[in-house]
Amino acid sequence: MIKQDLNILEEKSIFILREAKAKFENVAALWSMGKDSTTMLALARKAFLGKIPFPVIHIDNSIDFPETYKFRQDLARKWKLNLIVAESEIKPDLIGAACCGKNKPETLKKVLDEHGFDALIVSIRRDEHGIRAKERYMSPRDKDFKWNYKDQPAELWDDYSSKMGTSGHIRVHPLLDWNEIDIWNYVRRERIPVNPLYFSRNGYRYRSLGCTHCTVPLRSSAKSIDAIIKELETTKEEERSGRSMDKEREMVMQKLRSLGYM
Amino acid sequence: MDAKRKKVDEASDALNKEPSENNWKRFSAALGKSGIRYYRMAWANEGKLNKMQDLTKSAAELYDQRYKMIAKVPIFVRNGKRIRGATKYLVGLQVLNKV
Repeated sequence: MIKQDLNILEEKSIFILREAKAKFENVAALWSMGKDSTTMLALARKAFLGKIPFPVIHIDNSIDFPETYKFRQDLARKWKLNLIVAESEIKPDLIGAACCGKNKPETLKKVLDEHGFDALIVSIRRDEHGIRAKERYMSPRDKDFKWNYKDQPAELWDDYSSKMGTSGHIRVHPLLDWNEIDIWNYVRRERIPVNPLYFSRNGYRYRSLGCTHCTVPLRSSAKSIDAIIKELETTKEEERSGRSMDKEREMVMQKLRSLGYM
Repeated sequence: MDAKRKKVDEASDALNKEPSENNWKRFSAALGKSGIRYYRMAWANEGKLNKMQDLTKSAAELYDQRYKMIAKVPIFVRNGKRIRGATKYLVGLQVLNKV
């Protein structure tokens, strides 16, 4: 895994976050309590002098790990987050990719309608998945949340598009250039709190976090951030190999993202 | 210990009979000093859920620090016809990764 200069990454992410806050009237950030979105919140605190000036949304499908709920509770209090918890209803007959493709985007749509957000900060990274590599820093979605990845604005010389179709919104991706090891190096450098599920217990740890029923732990003995970084330097396993929905069908992630999944 | 254990047993029985919001709150309160430390999800079908309806047939197994199973509870809340997950009521427990 290629290590990048954290100062350059940080500077660019802070620039994008400030740009988003300045360009859009009503911005919100999505927080899944994972390492990436928590890092994004830490960057936002840095960008706006210690206080995150926009609401933070958790799309809660009500079957997250108890540790994740505890982490949410503790960090929201510590960082004084303006947290919006949007609970999605369980839909029978849906599971895996179908569940993510319907439940989460539907709940998100309701929140967007209710609060009128015109931009959403999402903490995806290009190295996570092939389809995420096609994203822009500021990427338009139409009113049905559809993403046309074949027709996106060019982003040359730090000129980001803030145009959108009627009643659509813009997804802002400040962590697009980061990779997994950069995130962990930054977490270590900035002492950012992370979900305890990332650390090994009884020989297993979670490398990517989702809901209880579609996330499996991977074999690992990494009990500290240093050990995780060391493990990542040598591993050949994919980051999302513990996420069942990624394995269901070919191109499933591409389909999910075009339907509005994060 | 016995009194605390009895409280957990009663609360988990009530929960298994009727997984309502009130029973979950009662169970959650009993969980506090019960000695229960770990949880493990026991899905209806071996391995994972095949559809969300299986959530109603799945359970959370709760263990003490010596990995002894203390209780088995459903992992959903039923509110009339609405069903949602109930893992937020297990806050404070750790996932049991022991094979």
